This record gives sequence, structure tokens and C-alpha cells, in this order.
Amino acid sequence: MATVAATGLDEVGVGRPFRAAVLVLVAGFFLIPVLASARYSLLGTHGHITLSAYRSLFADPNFWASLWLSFKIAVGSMLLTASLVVPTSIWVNSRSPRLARAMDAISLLPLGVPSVVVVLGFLGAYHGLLSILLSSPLILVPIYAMLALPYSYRTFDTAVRALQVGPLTDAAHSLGAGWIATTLHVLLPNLRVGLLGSLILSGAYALGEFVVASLLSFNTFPVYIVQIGLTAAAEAVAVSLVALLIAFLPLSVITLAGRGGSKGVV
Amino acid sequence: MERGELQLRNLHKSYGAAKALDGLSLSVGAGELVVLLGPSGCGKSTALRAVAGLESLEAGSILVNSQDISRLKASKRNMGMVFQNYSLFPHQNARENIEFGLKIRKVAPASRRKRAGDLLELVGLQDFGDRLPHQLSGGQQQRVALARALAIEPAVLLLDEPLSALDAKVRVALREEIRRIQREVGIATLFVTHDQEEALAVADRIGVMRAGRIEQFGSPVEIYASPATEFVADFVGRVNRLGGTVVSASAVEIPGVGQLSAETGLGPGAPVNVLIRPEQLGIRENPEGSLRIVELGFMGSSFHARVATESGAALSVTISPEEALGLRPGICADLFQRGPVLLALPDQATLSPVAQLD
Repeated sequence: MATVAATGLDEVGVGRPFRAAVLVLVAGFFLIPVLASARYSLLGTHGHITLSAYRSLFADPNFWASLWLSFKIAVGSMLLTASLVVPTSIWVNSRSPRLARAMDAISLLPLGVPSVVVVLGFLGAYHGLLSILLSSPLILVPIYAMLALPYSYRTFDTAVRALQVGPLTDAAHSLGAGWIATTLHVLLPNLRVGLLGSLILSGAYALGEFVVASLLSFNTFPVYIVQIGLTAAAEAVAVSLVALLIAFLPLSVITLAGRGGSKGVV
Repeated sequence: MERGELQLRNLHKSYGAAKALDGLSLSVGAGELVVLLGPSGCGKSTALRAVAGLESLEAGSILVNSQDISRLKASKRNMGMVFQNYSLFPHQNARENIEFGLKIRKVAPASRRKRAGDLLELVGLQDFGDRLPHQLSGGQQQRVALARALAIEPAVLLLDEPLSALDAKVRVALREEIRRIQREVGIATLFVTHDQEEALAVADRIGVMRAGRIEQFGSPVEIYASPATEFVADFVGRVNRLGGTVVSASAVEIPGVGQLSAETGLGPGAPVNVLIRPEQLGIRENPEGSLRIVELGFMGSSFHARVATESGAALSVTISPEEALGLRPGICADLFQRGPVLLALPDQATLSPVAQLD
């Protein structure tokens, strides 16, 4: 964003110093709280630097358990999102534009209805079907996949609309490809960036959601962060920084992968 | 390559109340190029997509080499199809696009590459195999699309308005190219277009479509010179429609114009509408003439004259540059007839002296 603005300003002669200033401001805005948190988490009770907060954190089995649980739920949520969103969006956009508009509205529903209501409704509606899952934290997978739909579905759907799915599927079919081959070899390679964006949002939602998990008394990572914050301040900040790092690494990997795809090198 | 023959029998398809195909029947012989020509909404693209399996039918059968394929899925029909908007796969380069159908058929990489190379050469793009679609011009993209369609050695080649998205010069060059390649490969081809000039230029036979059925099926010369109906005469080429009265077995009197020779099969005194092409009429300067030149348009190899009768009705006449010497808008002229009328239709309705249609 900053570079785009600066390129425009270069033409009117404002130039480099301004660009640098904006960059520093933006970087400062994001980095100063992170650095301050880092400093706080490293300061022991006597005012000298210590890794004790991190040591006790990593020694806590609940830390690893909650992290592992949230990771599983996020992966499950991403897989479920992919298996729901990809065929639905492709199908409605290529076969039934009227349904596409209906899907638009449906995908927005979780935004309009409070998540507590959604969860209670969900548990009530699927009680019989999901009774095996109900006591397991994996029940959060379908709930998160659904709650994240407004973001994940629309992100993918926008990419599908931009691609002219109809003509491309027609061409693929006439060349002998069935639906599966068409989706795998023609559509998805062109929708990679949209799909990654959609999955990032779904995964991030699952990694960060607190209300529903806490309501259903599952010790996911966000629930653990809040709990530890009640008892140990330095550990709470440390765990937040670790969470930031955990979120940052896969996001960068996915973003880099997406950039490769947009060049069309497959 | 398998030499296919295509037959469409009594195809029916409707969208709600609108009939897109209303008993369409047609045959394309081995190695033949048949054009489906018609105005937009006449069902020609629906027919083509039905042959490809991309559109379902309510009734009728589609036969390739006498085998009914109308129940097969699109992916099992072995039709090579070229689309108006190219529809190349954006993430694959030209060569990969051409190889796509072969890859689906699990053809070995070496022979796939060989075939793609041959086809790139056939369409004149041997140096462009590594380009992505967006790095190619429209005409080049459509050549790749043609090569991709031919790569699977289809039984029939289907072209859906393949030139409509291109500009005029590329359009003419590419249609000649398509014709050359089609002859070279010897494949039965169904070509859909709304452009009558294009149809006349490339077709072995033309099916003029109207409201979901074939209005006339014949060679380009037949369609142009002996249209079966007024619709065909009007849609293919330009035509003047003149109201008059039969004077004898071979003459019709057109008020304000004079006599035209036309076999009407009607008795003297019968009202009749005569259709005649602009190039079958001529004009010469005559200060006493009953017609006035309204406009002279230079078309390159000829002039297009619009002349008006005293009552104000206009008709079109095509004249050579030599004939146009000395003519200019505003002067009076006589009309003469060079060739036969296309059609003479009995007219029960009240006659307007001269109606013009082109």
C-alpha cells in the first residue's frame, strides 16, 4: 500500500523521504507493541533479562496440548472448507447463476446471526447426526468451517467469478475431461490464489476463535491464552508472541506459494 | 484420422416458452464444411452445443458415422470444439493447451509433444509454443484453440462463431486459414456464424436457420442465387423488394420504375412482390428518367447507388466504377435489369408502390 501511494507521489515530486517516512510510521505502528511485549515477556521480577516465562510456558503440557488441538481443528476446518466451498462455488457459477446469488446470501448468514445462536442451533439441528462427535473438540471443525464461510466462501467465489468458469469447463469437457479432471487440471490451477486466500481465512478463524470454544469448554489455544493471562502475566505475553509467530510462519509460506501460482508457472 | 459423418435428426429444445430448436435436421458429409447461418437467437449455437453435448435435448438424435451419440456425455463424444472467446486454459502455454486432450487420454509424453509440435506447425505458430495465452494476439489464440481441438483427432470439428471476436482483417485471414486446415485434415466440420459473407466464403454447404429449424440447405451459390424463401434472400446478401403487378407470363410492372422480366406463374393483373439483388440492376443517366440518384457510396471495387422513385421509395443498385463516371447524387436516371429476379411472391396485401428492403 505504502509503495503504491509513493509511486504516485513520485510523479508529483514528493519522492523518497516521504515514502521512507510512511514506511517507518507503518512499521512502527505494528512493531512497537510487539517489541514492547517481547521486552516485557523477557523481564524477570528483578528487572533483568530472563527466558523463564518461555521456559515455564514450553514446560507446560497444557500449552502443547491446546496448541496441537487448535492446529488439528484448523487443519480440519480448512479441509472441510475446501471440500464444501470449491465444488459449490464452481458448480453454482457454471450451472446456475440464480443459485449463485442465493449462495451469496447464505454464505453471509453467520455474520448476521450471533455465533452463540449459530452454535446452539447447529448442535440442536445435527444432534443425531453428530452425536459421536459431540463430546469431542472436533465438533468445532464443522462449526468453525461454517462460521468462517462469510470470509472463505466469498474469497473463493470472487476468484471463480473472475475466471469464466463456464467457457473453460465447456472446453475441458469437449477435450474429454470429466468434472473431476476439469476441476483438478483446469480450474484449480487458475484458482490457486483464491483457494489459498479462502483457506487462510478459514484456518486463521479456527486458530483464533475463543467464544464458542470457551462456551463448549474445550481447551483450544485461544482459551489457553486467556486462562494463562488470568494467572501469569509474563507467560500470557510470551504465549501471545509465540502465537503470532505460529500464525506468521504458515501465512508467509502460503503467500509465497500463491505468488508463484499467479505467475502461471505450474 | 477417422473420417466422420454427422447427422442431426429432428432436434428439439426449448428454453421456457421459446423454442431454440424446432425439429432441426441436417447432415455433414465426411470432409465437408457445413455452415449454420442465421440471425442471433435462431438456435444455431444451441444446435452446435447440443452436438458437442454441452446442451441437453428434449428430442431428436445426433449420429456420428450412423452411431447415436446423443446420450453420451460431452467428454465422451470426441468432438473438437472451438469457441468464440477462445477458452484457452490461462495457466498453460500454447503447447500444453494443445496437449491437454491427449494428456486426458493418457497418450505418452513423447508422442504428445510430437503431435503438439505438428499442430503448432499446421496453424503456423511453431515458434509460439511456450507462450501463455495472454501473451498471444486474439488471432493466435484462436489458432491455438483450433490446434487444441484437432489434437484429439476428433470425429467432427465444431466451430462456434470462431471469428466473431477478431477484427476485420484477421477475420478474413483466419477464415481462409481455417478452410485450408479443414481441407488438409479432411474433417467433417460444422461452423456456426451470423456473418453471411463469412458463410459464403468458407462453406461447402450452408444451412440458413430461422426459429430453430433449417430454412434452406444448399451450396453457397444456391443459397445466394436461388434463395428458397424471402427470409433467405433477405438474410444472405442485399436485396430489393419491389411491389408490382403481373403484366405477362414473364414481366412485372413496377410503378415508378418500369418493367422487370420475371417468371411469376401468375395471371396478368395479379399483385406481386419481386425480390432482386442490387447487382442485377443498373442505372444510366437520363434527364427524362423517372428515378433520382440519392447517394453514391464508393465500396472499393464498386459503387453502391441509392435511387428514389417519384413517390420517394428507395432502392439499391450496385454499379461498376466505369458506370459510375458522370453520375452524381441529384441527377435523374433510368433503371435497367441485368439479371434474373430472385423470387416473385404473390401479394394479397394492399400494395405499396415500391417498398425497399436491404
